[in-house]
Amino acid sequence: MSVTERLGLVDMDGFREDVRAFLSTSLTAEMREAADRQAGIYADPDLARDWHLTLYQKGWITPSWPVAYGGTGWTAAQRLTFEVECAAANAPVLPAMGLQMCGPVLIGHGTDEQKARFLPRIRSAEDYWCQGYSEPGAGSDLASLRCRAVRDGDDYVVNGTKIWTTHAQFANWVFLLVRTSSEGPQQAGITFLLAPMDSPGLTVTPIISMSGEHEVNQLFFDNVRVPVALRVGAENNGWEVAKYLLQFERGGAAAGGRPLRLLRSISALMQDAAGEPEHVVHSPQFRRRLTLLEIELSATMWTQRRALSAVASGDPMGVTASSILKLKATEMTQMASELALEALGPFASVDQSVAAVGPVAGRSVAARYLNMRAVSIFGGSSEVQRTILGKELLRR
Amino acid sequence: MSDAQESRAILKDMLRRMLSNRQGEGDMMARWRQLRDELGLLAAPLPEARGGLGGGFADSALIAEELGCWLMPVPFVATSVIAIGLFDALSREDLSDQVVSGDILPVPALMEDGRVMRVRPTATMLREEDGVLRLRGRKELVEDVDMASHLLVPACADRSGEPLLLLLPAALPGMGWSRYRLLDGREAATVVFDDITIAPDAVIGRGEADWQRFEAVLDRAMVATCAEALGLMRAMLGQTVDYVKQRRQFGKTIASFQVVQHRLADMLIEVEQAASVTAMAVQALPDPIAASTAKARTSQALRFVAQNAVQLHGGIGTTEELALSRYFKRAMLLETQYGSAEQHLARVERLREVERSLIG
Ligand SMILES: Cc1cc2nc3c(=O)[nH]c(=O)nc-3n(C[C@H](O)[C@H](O)[C@H](O)COP(=O)(O)OP(=O)(O)OC[C@H]3O[C@@H](n4cnc5c(N)ncnc54)[C@H](O)[C@@H]3O)c2cc1C
Repeated sequence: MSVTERLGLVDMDGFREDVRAFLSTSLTAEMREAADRQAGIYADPDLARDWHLTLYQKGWITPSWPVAYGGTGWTAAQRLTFEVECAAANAPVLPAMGLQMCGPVLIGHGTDEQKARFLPRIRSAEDYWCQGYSEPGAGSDLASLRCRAVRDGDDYVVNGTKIWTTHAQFANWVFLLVRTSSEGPQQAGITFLLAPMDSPGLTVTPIISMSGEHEVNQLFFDNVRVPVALRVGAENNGWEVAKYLLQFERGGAAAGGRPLRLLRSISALMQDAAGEPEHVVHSPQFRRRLTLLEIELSATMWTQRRALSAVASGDPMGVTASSILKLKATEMTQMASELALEALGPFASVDQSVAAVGPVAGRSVAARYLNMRAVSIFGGSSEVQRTILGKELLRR
Repeated sequence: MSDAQESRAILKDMLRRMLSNRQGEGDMMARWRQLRDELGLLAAPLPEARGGLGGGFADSALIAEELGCWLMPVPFVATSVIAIGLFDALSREDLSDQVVSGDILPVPALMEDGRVMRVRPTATMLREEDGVLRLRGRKELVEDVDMASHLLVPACADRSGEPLLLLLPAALPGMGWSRYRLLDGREAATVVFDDITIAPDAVIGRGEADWQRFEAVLDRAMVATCAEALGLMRAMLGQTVDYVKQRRQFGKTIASFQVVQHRLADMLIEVEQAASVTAMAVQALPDPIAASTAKARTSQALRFVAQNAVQLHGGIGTTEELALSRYFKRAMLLETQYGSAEQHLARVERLREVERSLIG
C-alpha cells in the first residue's frame, strides 16, 4: 500500500493513477535530482520555473483555486492525493507566495481588475511574488507593524522596512502590510498593498542564512509610491485580508510534504550504507526512530484528511486543525532533517558549498538541517501556535 | 588557594582576556601560536616537573571549556590531548616536547570511511619488505590540515594484522590530498596513501598494548570535547538569556512569557547535566564507560541547547551574521566528533554487558 492509499483517499476514476502516470513522464530525472540537491525552503527559481510551467501546461498549477480562475475542480481528497504524490515523487517545492498566498487573497478580496491583471500571470509564472509582512520590530507580534503608508492623491507613499522577505531578490512583485492609521486597536490601522519590486525608492538587501545561502532579505521603502488601485480590500482592513492568508499559509499545503521528501533522502542514505554493517542506520534505535516518524506522518496526514472533509461538508478549516498541522509539519520536518544528519554521519560536518564530499545522497543534508531550523519560527512560531491552540480550547 | 589552584585561576583569566579580544580572528594559525607561545597552553596540563601547572587532565578540560565558550576552534584537543597524550603514553616525551615548542603540529587521521566513526584500521595497510615500509589506504575528514605538520595515522601490518601507530610528515611524496571546508570554517581533507614509502622511525607504536594506550588517549579526547561542548552551551545559553531580556513583542520582553522561561529552564538543566557527566568523566578517567557516558549525554544536551537557542532568537537566530550561528555549526561538529550520542550509548551498553558478565 502506498502512502496515499493508506490515507484512505478514494481513488475516483483512477485519479491517483493519472497523477502517477503524469509524474512518471513529466517529472524528469534531472528535475528529481535537482530537487534532491535543494536545501532551501523553496526550490531555486530555475528549477521551480521548469516544474511550474510543466504543471501549468497540464492545467494543474492551481488545483485549490476556483475553476473560474483556473482551478481543477478537484475534491479536497484529490488535492491532497496530488500533493502527497508530488512529494513522494520528489517534485520541486514551488514557492508559495504567488500560488498559495497572493492568488487566494486576490480571489477572496481583490477587485475584478486586480484579478484579471494578476491571477493569469501567477499561473503562467510571469510574475514572482514575495511576502512583505514581518518587520524588525514586528515578528510574532505582526499587528505592531510600523511600515507607514500615507495617502497622497491617487498614491500611497510608503516608508519603512520589511525583513525576512523570502526570495525578494527573485521577485518582481511584493504584497505587503502597511500602517495607514495609528488610531484604535493596532489591527484596525493596517492596509494590504501590492507593489512592483522595481518601484523607485524600494531597495533589497540580502540576509545570509546560517547555511550560507541567500534566501531572505530586508526591504527598505523610501518614499515609494504605490497607486491606490493596488490596494487589496478597504483601507485599514488589511488585517482581515492577512488573516485569511495566514490560514492558507498554515493549513493549505500538504503537512506531510516536506517530511516525505526528507524521508526519501534518508532512504537514499540507508541504501548508500547498505554495505557497512557498523553504520548507524542499521541500528534498531535508528530504525525505531524512523518508524516513529513514519507513524506520526500517517497520523498527521489523517488529521489533514479529517480537516479537509470537514471543509468539504461546509465547515471552515478550523483554527485548531491548521495550528496542529503547522506544528506537526514543522516537528516532523525537523526530526526528519535530524535523522538525515545522523544517517549521513561524520560527513555531515562538511561545508558542501565549497566542495562536494561523501555520498551523493548526503550533499544537502547539513544545509537542510540548518535551513529547517526556520520552519518552527516562520508562519507563526511553534510557541505561538501552541498559544493559539490553548486559547482556542479554553474559549469553548 | 593552593599554588596549583592559583596558577590555574591565572591561566583562566589570561585565557579569557586573550580570547575575548577577537582581533585577527580569521587567522587561526596566528591565534594558535599566540595561545601556545604566549600563554603556554600546551605546557599547562603537563606535570610540574615539565613546566605544567600540575592539574593534569582537569586543566585540559578547563582550557577546552574556555575555548568552547569563546568559540576558538584551535587544534588544542588534537595536539595537547591526543598527540602529547599518546607520545607520553608511548614514552616518547621527546616528541611531546616538540609539540609543546611548536616544532611539530600533529593531527589525528582516524577515519577510513567518513560515514562511520571507526578508529580501528582495517584498510590502511603497511607492508614491510626488505626493510622498506610502504603504506596504502585513505583517511577521511582529517581536520586542520592547513596547520598540520604531521599526521597521526592508525594503520595495520599487512601480514600480522597487528595495529600500528604512525607519525608521518604531512608533506610526504605520493600523498594525495583533497581538501574541503568544514561547517565551522576550518580546513579538512581526505588523504590517500598510494603505496608511499615511509621512514622506519615513523612507526611509533605497535601491537595491542600500544593500541590500548591509544584508545585510552581517545577517551580523553572525547571528554575534552565534552568540556569544549559545555563551553559552547554555556555561551549559547548566556546569549539567549541576554536576547530574550531585550527583545520585545506584544508590548513586553519575550522573557516575560512563561513558555520562554520554561524553555530556558530546560536548557539550563541540560547544561548542568552535561557539566556533571563531564566532571564525572574527568574524575573517573581512564574509565571508558564514564567517557562514553559523558559523550553520549553531552551530545544530546548540545543539540537541545543549540536548537533552542536558535528557536528563542526567532528569525535573527537563523542568520549567519549572528555569532550564535557559528556556535550552532561548531556544535554540529562536536556532536559527532569522536562518536555521536547514539554510538556512545551503544558503547556504554556493550561495556556494561561485559562488566555485568564479569560480576555475574
Ligand atoms: C527563513 C525565514 C523566512 C521567512 N520568510 C518570510 C517572508 O517571506 N515574509 C515575511 O513577512 N516574513 C518571513 N519570515 C518571518 C517570520 O514570519 C518571523 O520570523 C516570525 O514571525 C517570528 O518573528 P521574529 O523572527 O521577530 O521572532 P520573535 O517574534 O521575536 O520571537 C522570538 C522567540 O520568542 C517567542 N515568542 C514570541 N512571542 C511569544 C509569545 N507571545 N509567547 C511565547 N513565545 C513567544 C517565539 O516563539 C520565538 O521563539 C521568515 C522567517 C524566516 C526565519
